[in-house]
Amino acid sequence: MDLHPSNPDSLDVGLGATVPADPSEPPALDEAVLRQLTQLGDVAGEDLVGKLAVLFLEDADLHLSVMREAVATSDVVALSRSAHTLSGSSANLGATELARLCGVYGSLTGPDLPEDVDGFLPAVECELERVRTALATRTTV
Amino acid sequence: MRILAVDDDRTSLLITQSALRRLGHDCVIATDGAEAWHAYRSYAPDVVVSDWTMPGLSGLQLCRDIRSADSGTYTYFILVTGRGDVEDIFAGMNAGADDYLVKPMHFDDLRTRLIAAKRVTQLHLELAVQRTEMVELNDRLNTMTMRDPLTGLGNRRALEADLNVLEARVARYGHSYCVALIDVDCFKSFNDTYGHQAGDRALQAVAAQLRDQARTGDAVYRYGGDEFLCLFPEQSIASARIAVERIRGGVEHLGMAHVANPLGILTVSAGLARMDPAVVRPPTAVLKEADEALYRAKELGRNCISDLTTSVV
Repeated sequence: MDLHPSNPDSLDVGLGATVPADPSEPPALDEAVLRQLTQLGDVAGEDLVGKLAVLFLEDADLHLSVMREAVATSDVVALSRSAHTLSGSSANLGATELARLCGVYGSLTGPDLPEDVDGFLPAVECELERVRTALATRTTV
Repeated sequence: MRILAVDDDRTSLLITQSALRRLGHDCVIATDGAEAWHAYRSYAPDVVVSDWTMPGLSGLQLCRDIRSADSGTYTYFILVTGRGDVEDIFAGMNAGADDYLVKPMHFDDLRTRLIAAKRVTQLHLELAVQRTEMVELNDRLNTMTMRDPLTGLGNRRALEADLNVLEARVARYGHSYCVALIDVDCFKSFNDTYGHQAGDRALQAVAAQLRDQARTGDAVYRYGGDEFLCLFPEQSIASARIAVERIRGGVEHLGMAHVANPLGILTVSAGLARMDPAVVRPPTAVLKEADEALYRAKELGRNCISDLTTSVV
């Protein structure tokens, strides 16, 4: 049992919820990860994915808010910390693209904001919405 | 196993917690380093699975603190890093982490790590048990080497160790002590008359008197054969004599038949000597004086106490 199988062949994209509208766009959620999380919850007799979705979205909104404030105040440390945490939780939930986006900003070391910061937040917001939609379809969130 | 999972990210923490429970482990959680430290102290986990980056106390520092704590048992520490940065991993392992995981956490990786964790913690547990047994065995061996098996009193080895301590106190603090050398009167004749088994019982009876009559702070030893020795720290000849007189009287009061002794019962004689801090001398010199005093007590008719400074009681 693997929560995060690295073999793309094992991905089950048969469920419409995680099939992207644009075939060239990667899925918002890794179906294989979700399936394994679901199995993990089933063993314990609980809706683990539902619980994770609630926690994840609450925290993601919070991190997004912190990151907006950090960008406004040029607080690189706060920006990096929130991006790092959001990257970790996204990866664990199977939100691979969101994890990748945030991961880039999760290891900032310089005193100044990156040059592409203006595009960062919109990209995160957009991807987070895709994840939110995918989770909403998948769960009752 | 008892596992403490630490992560400031609630999503990751819930997944780790669910996975650990799925694997059949008891799990408690903490959402920052300080809370984790408190949980570590109260829960005493076998394994800690901790995130690297946390506000306040980081996973790295938590690992260092746990390694510095003397809890008596070994805690297997797995650091979880989101970056997979090799320098972070080196830093974690150098801080005392046993293993690491990279986010996203793979269930099989976690399971694999915990197999190793169980083996290592079990080994540490067995080592701890063996260490405790070794300490107890050493204590027993030490006791055995310091005790006379027949009487249960301290033996010559114990006497030498205690005399060394007393000698050091004499040198450092100007302390004093008295020595009483006690000998069973006509013991060879007792053995010849009643046999060696009866002789052993007589020695045990005398030893019991020494033990019973000794005061707190006094020490009694079987010096060899039918000779016993008492140490009286910080005692004058007069006060030591009172203690030895109780012993002498106690043995006499036993009324053990000893036909070869002119008194008809088992008795002891004693020689006393004092280490005067004003005239420091080695224990061998004090013992020699006590031996001479004992010889004098024998000459004076036995069943008495003598020293080289005062008259016979």
